[in-house]
Amino acid sequence: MVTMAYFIFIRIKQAYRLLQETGWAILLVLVVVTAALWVPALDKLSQATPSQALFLSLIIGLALQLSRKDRTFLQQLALPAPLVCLADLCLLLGMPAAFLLATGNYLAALAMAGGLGAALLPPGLAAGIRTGRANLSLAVIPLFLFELRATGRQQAGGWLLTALLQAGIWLHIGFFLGTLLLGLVLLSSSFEYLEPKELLPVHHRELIRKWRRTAAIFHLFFSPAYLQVLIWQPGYFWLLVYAIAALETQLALVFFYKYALWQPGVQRLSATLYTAIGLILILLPGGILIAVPLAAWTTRRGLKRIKQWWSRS
Amino acid sequence: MVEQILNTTARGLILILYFWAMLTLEGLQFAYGNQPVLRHLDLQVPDGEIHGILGANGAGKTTLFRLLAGWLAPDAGDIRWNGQPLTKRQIAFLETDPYFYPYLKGVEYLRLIRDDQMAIEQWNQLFGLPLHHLVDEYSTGMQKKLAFIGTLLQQRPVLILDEPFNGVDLAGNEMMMAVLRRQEIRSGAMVIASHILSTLTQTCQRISILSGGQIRQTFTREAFDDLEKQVQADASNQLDHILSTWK
Repeated sequence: MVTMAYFIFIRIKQAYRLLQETGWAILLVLVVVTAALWVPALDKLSQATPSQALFLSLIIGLALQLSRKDRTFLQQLALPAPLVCLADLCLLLGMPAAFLLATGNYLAALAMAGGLGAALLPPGLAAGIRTGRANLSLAVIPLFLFELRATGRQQAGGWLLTALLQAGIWLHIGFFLGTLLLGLVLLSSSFEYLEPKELLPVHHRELIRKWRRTAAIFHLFFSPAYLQVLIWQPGYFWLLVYAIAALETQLALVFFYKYALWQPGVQRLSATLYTAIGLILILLPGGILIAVPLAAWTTRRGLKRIKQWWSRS
Repeated sequence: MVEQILNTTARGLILILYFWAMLTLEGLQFAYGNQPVLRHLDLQVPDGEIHGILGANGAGKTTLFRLLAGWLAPDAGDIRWNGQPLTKRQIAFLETDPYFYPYLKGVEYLRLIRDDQMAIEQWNQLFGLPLHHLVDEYSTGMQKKLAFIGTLLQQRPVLILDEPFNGVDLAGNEMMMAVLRRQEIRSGAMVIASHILSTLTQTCQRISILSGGQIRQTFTREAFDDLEKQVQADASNQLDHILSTWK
């Protein structure tokens, strides 16, 4: 009979192997380098009220359950799937809860532990209608620690950068804004390669899904900032709304620009000038009022172009 | 009078068959939005039978298996085992691409499915997998063999195998087929999908053609030669037709 203790033991072993593969020296450097960022973050966590802790644990629980890729395996396990999910949540939330207990914030720790039960969902609830596997390539630590195959695997630089950015976000919203700006500048280079016709989305709805999947990765990456603002820095709420609008606008511009100009045989397209115009508009006061219609027009052009190409063939 | 007795007997037999250990799919319908995939599909697979499903890409084989596995709910129709609705715990499903937790060794994977070291070692004698290595280091074929062992270890009454032979080497394929043919070491009703007709004809008692969302035709072992000829003739006719359009 497989016991729950064996499952938890396996999970701890997995985490150990993951850390070992990343390299202890890198992790040590990472901990020391980022101490200035994560110490205040933990300190802030210790000041959380029970309702904030409950909210946070609910978010973590939901994020974990909605991203599960192991539905098939859960069904085949000898253990009941809900217990397995609960064990995963306990392991992920156990550390912050233990920290809160240790620092004397018992009510918040209790709320966090309560969130474990409340956040428990049937495995793969949201993934029930998915036909493919969830595919998130960005490392979001530690929410998807166990499930993301790519996390940390020979990507020490990625770990370091992600940890720095994520930890910095907990320190101040300025980190988020800086990262966002950097992301927006680099965005155009990520979309300059055109796919051949065989790899084009076969329907405009698929193109829209592809666009939203890309946007979801960004939002997931910045989700700590959203939480930070919503819980601890509500004064920046409208700044956050503007930042999200800017991200969506620029992404739509860059994403659909290449499809608007797509032609067979063209492999690369420089969108630097076009996206630079979008970026300047976004940064100028009131400029977003021009950038949004421009993005909408580009989106329409991109969708129309794809429809045309498929109707011709 | 005789007719009445015959009718009653026939109904009784049908009733017995209905509650006999059998996987029954009745009037199964499913659509993705406005796109119907399965249209009133009927299928019976008695306990112990290996039933092959043959169909073109996009015919709905995977959707059928997802319905059987309980991941999708049918729009209409029933899936029953022994006359009762089939539950998830009665099914072992070997997917085309099985899922493995990262940083897990082969033996740990199998122990999570069934904590029986002796059974694990016995099954592995057939395939010789390096169970004390991480599954991430396995080749595609080795992963498939591991998942196959895991499927059998579950000892569930209904087994669904979606393309079980893909990516597996020749010796592994032969061993898998030999295991499937030996009823004394595996249990339950089994449904297999494969694109390689010979793997189905070598393992299955019956093979059904899934087309247009329905089971179009079912072949028994005696008619497998006809099936092979039909498949070859269809391909040949299609090729002739295409070649005739070339300059």
